Amino acid sequence: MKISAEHVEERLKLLGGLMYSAKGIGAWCFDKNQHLLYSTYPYSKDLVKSPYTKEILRDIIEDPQTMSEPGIWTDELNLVWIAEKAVQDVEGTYMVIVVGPFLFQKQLKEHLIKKLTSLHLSLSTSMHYSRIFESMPVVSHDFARAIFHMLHYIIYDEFLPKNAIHFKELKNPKQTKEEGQVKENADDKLQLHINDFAGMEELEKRLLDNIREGTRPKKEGEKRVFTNDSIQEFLLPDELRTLKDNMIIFLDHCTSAAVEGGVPLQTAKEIESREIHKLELAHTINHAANANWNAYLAFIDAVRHEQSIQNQGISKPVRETMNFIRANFQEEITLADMAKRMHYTEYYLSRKFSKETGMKIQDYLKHVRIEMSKVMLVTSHKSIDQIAEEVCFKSRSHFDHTFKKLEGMTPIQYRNNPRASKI
Amino acid sequence: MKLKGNSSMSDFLERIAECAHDVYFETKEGDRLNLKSTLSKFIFTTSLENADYFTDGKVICEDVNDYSILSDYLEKDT
Repeated sequence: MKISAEHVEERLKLLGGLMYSAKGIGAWCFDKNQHLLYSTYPYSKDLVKSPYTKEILRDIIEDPQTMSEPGIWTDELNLVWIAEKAVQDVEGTYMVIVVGPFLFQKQLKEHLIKKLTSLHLSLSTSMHYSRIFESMPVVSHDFARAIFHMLHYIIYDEFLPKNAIHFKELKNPKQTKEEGQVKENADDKLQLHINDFAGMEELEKRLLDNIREGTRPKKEGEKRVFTNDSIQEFLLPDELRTLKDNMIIFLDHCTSAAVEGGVPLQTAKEIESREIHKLELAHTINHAANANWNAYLAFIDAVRHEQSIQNQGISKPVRETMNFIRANFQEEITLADMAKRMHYTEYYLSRKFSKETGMKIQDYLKHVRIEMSKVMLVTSHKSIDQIAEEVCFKSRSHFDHTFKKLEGMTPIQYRNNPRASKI
Repeated sequence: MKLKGNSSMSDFLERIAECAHDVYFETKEGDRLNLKSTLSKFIFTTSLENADYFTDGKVICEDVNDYSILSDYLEKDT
């Protein structure tokens, strides 16, 4: 699709205004020879001379993908730039539209400012560059993803696929941080972690695809991605709150993925609400990470369940009852609650459920609680008493008895040898 | 030593990468930039508009042997 220069200029002014008013992020327009045509960034005159900005610009121009989609680059100062070419109606002409710079983490900004203060600089130089870095916006991954999509829409009036996002690596990163760079070894670590974030985007896509398809993780080791140490190093001073906020955003994506996988919206929202509640109760980073992992599994199981009951030709009220049970198995729920929800009498719902599933509602509830306890037995180190309580059994002995009746072994035996279960 | 007025700053900075030890740029205002440092290079290049910054500043090599590597960009001391 090709557009006029006037179209780009008009839309870029709008984009620049929106970005700056929302987050203090600049919008830039270059010609194909890297000449700056205009920018809304207050320190554009400084940054346009930076060799790192020029390097990014060169990569943008040489990257053929930017003719049709934006890309996200990180320069050697860890400043993030999002760019796309605006292909014009005059043959072979385009402009390069760039949004940035910004940072992904406040710690990176603090690192730059700290480094600045450690340099031997005059007061005027120090103050000038302090102003530049102090004003550098810090945005979340989600916001960067929004910029990515908005940029394309602003230029071409069209939407990109929902999960489209492209992180780019510099083609020829300069080797400036090796000899004599004792003070700057931290830069290497930070750069690696920026690349980790790009990897995390890909990983998140895979995790959400697993939810949509109802694919359970094959190995216990996959749980490690939820407790990745390198990511935890980037947390702000209030580390646990930051982690929880990021996880809540992830759970929102999981909810959408579960709905796409066939889970009714209300059910998915109930699962989300329950898992967020558990997450908020976590008082350590490891607890929060485990809560996040369990939430991920809960969404996958919801999709798998939905797929299995849809295959069995079960009616909507019974499916909804089953979904309600799966979303609320950790609460004290009664037949009266479920009947009221479905606007049926207890007798009618009970009979209908039993006829279609071959199981009484109360037995199905027990079955779900035992299923979920099996997940916890294998994926957590919680005590049996704790698990019994979490899946809403009134006593440990009742839990043990029900578990053995359905699985042919005690919970401890199952924990030690899950494959030996009769199910 | 001072920088030659017509030096290409990008080429100069690339040549510094060949030096065995650190290379500093000192200005009259009191800045002392290690030109092997990422952040210092950023400050150095973004100050290009200030012509006095370069004509009044001087390049100091930690190792005297590195001056020969940068000789194309440096004025001879008089």
